[in-house]
Amino acid sequence: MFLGVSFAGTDTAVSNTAAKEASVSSFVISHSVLGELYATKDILVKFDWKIPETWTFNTYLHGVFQGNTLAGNVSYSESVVDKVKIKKRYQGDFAWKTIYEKEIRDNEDFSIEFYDYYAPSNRDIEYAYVAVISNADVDPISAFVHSEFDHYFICDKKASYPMMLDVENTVTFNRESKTVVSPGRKYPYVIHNGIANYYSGTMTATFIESKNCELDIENGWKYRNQIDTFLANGEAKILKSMEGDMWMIHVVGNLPRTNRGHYQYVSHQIEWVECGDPNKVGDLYDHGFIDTDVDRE
Amino acid sequence: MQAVIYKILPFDAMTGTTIKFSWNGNQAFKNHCVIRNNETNEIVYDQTTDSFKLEHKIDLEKAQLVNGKRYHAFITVLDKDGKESDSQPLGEPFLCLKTPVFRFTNLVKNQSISSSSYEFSLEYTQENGELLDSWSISVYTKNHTLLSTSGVKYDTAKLKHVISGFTNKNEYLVQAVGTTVNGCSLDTGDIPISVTYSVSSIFSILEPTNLRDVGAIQIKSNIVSSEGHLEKEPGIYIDNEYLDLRDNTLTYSEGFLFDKDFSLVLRFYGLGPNQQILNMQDEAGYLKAIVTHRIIKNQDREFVSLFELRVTSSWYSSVFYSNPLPLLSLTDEVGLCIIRQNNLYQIETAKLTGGESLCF
Repeated sequence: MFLGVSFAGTDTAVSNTAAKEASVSSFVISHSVLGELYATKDILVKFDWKIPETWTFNTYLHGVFQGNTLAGNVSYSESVVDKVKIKKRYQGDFAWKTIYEKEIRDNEDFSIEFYDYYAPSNRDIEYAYVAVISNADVDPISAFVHSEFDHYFICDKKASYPMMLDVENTVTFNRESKTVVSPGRKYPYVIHNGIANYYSGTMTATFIESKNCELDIENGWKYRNQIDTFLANGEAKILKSMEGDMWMIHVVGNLPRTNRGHYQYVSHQIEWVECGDPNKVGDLYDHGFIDTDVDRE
Repeated sequence: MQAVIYKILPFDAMTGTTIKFSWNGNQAFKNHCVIRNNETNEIVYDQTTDSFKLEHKIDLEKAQLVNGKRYHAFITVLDKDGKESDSQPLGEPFLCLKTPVFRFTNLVKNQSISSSSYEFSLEYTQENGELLDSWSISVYTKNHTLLSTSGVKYDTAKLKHVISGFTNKNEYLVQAVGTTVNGCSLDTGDIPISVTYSVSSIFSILEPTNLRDVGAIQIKSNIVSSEGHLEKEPGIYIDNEYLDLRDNTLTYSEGFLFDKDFSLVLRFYGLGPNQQILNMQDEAGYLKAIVTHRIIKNQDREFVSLFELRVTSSWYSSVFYSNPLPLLSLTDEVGLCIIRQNNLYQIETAKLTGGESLCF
């Protein structure tokens, strides 16, 4: 259809009509009474005019103009939000615990990609995204996930290492008790003093880095030295099993290695002792695992 | 021998109380209670009760007790022969106080809360100036298992506490208890509440993913906050469903970036002929896409409406036309869809209310 336009009027008239690819960063709507606005990455050819209500990862904007001009998927903008929090709780628990906070200065700050290394395996965990406006938490947006990990892991704030090969963990539950034999009694006195109740153990594992699903045996010596530096840095660690155990520990003593029949087949032995509760915000903060203790118990 | 009267907590003169005592003498058949006004020593109550029990329930019809006044109570015990025990030399002091008002100001029975957290607010008043000493608010399950409590609080200036953690579509019991400075117990009783709030789809806003080889949970958010700006504030909203832009413009310039392929849908009415509805741009000003309402004559020489999309990119202009519609009136609701795919544009339209639109 040609509407008042000269056909092939110039030498460039039959050039392709594809516009230069550029990102649309702003638009203006006018001269109408606007009911709804919807923008998506999806291609809506032969659209049925039923705008979806559900927000997906392809949705750019959706505005319905019920008293405001918000077109995002939250009812606030960066002009009023001080910060956002990520909170966590296990299914069945009542209280939320804040594990991460981020200041909001501009719109891009709303987007968060965060890794929770301190989640135990085999649990149903609920995470919530909470905006803070005028020092008050807005209603959270939450989602559930079931955690399931394949190996033992040992991590601190900066690094996490899987223990995949030849893993053995001998665990002892410690408490103070003394047996006192008295000459006048058939049975000894057993004395339990103090409130010390903690786990300790000995872990052995063969550390070989996995790259693209292949074990990098050639550079195993570098990886083992890296593990030694990590284990001996004096900072608290989180040790967790694939069953669901999780301990906050310190590595104690030396770190002997054992050659298991080949010079590249070497296992580490790690002595550890429990130093806190990895489910308590106070302990996580005091040992440097998280940066916020706003929900300290 | 004298009976020993137990401590008498303050009570409302209109509701009375039961005075309890201990006695180690002969079997009690009756007990005799005398109450004197502390200030005037006047007898305001003098009654004998037939009872084996070591307690005396005040007969309110015979008592002349007044709230705000202090009294002393004296108890003697009579055995089967009517022999009366000795009276206490000093009597047991007590205070009459009107029952305080202790209640939630923002909560009623069976209230529905539409949020996962709530700030509970209490009110305390007492006619005779009795002060509140401490209070606490607790939340229980329907089976009365304690879930959360504020703990005993002594700050009586601010009777508020936020409890969070309510789960959607659940029921709870909320109770507040307190104590006055003279030891009176306060209790709001169990107040049942229900919680119902809307939860966004987990795939739309917050996506936690289990990474089994990494030993971590990845939490990714797709939070988009984008607010349009009106040239003339405040905007005019019609029936809380439409925004009137006939004499205004609405600009979106943050919280998004239409990169590569996209579709943009508008639903509107009231657009007149040759009026521009949409103007899209990139940041550098190389790209400009304008949509205008046009009226033309079709091959049957009838007037029809269509939309023109004029895209200017660097030095090239391209024009695209939508499918035609029967001539639009200012009240017809219209849907407009602009699509960019592989750098080529399309524009589609439909009349959403009224007759069917014509298609090619």
